[in-house]
Amino acid sequence: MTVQDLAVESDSSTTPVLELRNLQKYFPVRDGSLGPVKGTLKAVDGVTLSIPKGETFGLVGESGCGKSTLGRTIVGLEKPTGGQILFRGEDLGTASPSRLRSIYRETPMVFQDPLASLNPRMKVVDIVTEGLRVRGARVSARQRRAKAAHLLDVVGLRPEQLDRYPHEFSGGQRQRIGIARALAVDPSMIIADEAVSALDVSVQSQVLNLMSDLQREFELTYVFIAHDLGVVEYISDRIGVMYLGRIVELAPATALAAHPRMPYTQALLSAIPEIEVDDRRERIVLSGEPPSPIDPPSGCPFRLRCWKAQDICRTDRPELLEVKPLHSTACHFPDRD
Amino acid sequence: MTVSTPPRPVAEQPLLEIKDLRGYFRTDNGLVKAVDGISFSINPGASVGIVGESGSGKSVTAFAITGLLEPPGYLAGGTVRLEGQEISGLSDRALQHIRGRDIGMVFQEPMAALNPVVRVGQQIAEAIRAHQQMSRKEAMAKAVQLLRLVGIPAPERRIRDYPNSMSGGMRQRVVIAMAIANEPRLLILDEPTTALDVTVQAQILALVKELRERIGTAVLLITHDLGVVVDVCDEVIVMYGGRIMEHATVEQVVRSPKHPYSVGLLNSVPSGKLKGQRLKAIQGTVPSPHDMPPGCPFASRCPEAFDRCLEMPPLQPQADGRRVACWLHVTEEAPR
Repeated sequence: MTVQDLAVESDSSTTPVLELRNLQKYFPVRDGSLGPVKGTLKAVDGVTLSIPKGETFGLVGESGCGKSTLGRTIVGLEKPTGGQILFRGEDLGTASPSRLRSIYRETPMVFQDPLASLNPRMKVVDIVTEGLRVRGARVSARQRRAKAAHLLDVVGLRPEQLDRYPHEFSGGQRQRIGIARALAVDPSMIIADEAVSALDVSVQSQVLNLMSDLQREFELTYVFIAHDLGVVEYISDRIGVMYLGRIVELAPATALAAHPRMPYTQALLSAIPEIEVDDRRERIVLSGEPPSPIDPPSGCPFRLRCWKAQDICRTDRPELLEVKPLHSTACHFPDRD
Repeated sequence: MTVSTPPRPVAEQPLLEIKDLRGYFRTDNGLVKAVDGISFSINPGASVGIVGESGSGKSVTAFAITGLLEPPGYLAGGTVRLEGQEISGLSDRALQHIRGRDIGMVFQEPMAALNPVVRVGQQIAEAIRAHQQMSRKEAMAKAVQLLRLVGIPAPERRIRDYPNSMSGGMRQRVVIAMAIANEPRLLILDEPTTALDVTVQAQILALVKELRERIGTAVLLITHDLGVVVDVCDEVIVMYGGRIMEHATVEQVVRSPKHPYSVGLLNSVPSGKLKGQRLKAIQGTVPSPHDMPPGCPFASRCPEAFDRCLEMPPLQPQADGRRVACWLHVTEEAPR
């Protein structure tokens, strides 16, 4: 542990693990692959967020809302085009390249498709401990093997499986390997991008249980990105709902589920087919689909599908503001108590 | 609206009757019995859901019913009757006719059913003219009506669109329009909303329910998502390892599942209500299709398994009308 780490550690009780300040990730849109730039895709368009240690923060939204880009930007797979990312109070924009590398190692990502994210030509032992090698620390082959065996045990696989290749495992087992790889670097935060979406429900529940156990054991902070609201509601302490690159509602998971305050979240929640025969809710069926993030509407991005929209929604972009303590919406007409 | 159907005589027989259906695959690693002897029937106008995880055989069931199993897959046994007439074993040509006219089909990936270089109006018109005597002009007019029926705005203009210029949700509406173009008595939907966002899924499911009421077609909906079945269907068939585990009303399965697999499946679904609780996950993984254990396919993961489970239990009718394939629910010894 370096002196710098100690300094940061000393007030870790109050410093959030992750802080985003007006984070933006814009992509130029070209005419063809090499043509002139003809527009801007605002994948992440001003996200401000603070995630304390040990929290599971759920990020939900439909395809194209920018949730995956946000995750990729946090872990350094995309470079932000505006705003700040602070990791335990340290601004990544001003950190040295070597410092950045060491921070990014602490914040691994677990992806949706375990097979695509695991090198098919590498044995499990090498996949799991790859992060240790990159780190440059002098770790002997025997130590790496021992560490890998321990990690497999932690995620519920058998140490005898160390010398197998990814294709010899089932989808759920592969996702466990992805999680073991993430744990190898002693992470403080794991970004899980649709980590259980490709799994069958019976296996998904096993992986969710595993993630909860690991969080308790290692005091992990999770950013859990998924389109499946049932899963996100279940696992998250707090949820941010994204729409066209922005967070439009932010609240503790229970408060959000009990009373979503803005129309998009209300429609999104009511659209989940629930396994319930006693009280079938009236479903809000939205018309249309999310507009293109290349050419978003003026004002509120949701107004074209919103049943509450007024003139102000066309002219003014709503800011993310508290409707009650800890519960914010970006909406001109949120439900209030 | 000309899409409405004339009232049909009250049917004495089921619309679709499946007996001991088997869909097998020849692979390098041996025979895979993807669907291994299932029987069920669908009444006219009914809505039946098949729910199962990957490898349960749910999609192969749809292919086997409609004669779409392609090598290395083949129909290894069983009968399929549509309104009493056996359709398994008919020629490809005859089956093709049945598929467009009597059975409409919608799959997960709309582009699999659409030709990317043909305008959507023309594709629908061709689907109509393949089964009905109608001029091009009339068929095109009907295509416009169908697109309106499935909720596509400004259909007079959209008929000239190519599928590629439409969103996933709109394409799936076009496929549904094609599937119902000839007023089929049965609409088979195989994971119709799996590739779609949840708000678009809600639109498509609402459309399916509305169409069922308006044109009186029966629905067979195949999905991994029990919530989708609960939303759309009255009956549910729970499949695992190529077999039917439980066949009951949706209400019966949701309120009081009987088969241990149905119980496990319901307990596995995470939701806000279970917050803070450990999910009661089903242990283990689906056995490899190359290496199915003898007897009940769920036995190796079943918390209640006992030695009897090495033998496959019959799908036994229960007092409350449902059918369950589990030795715990076999009330009396079947005669040998």
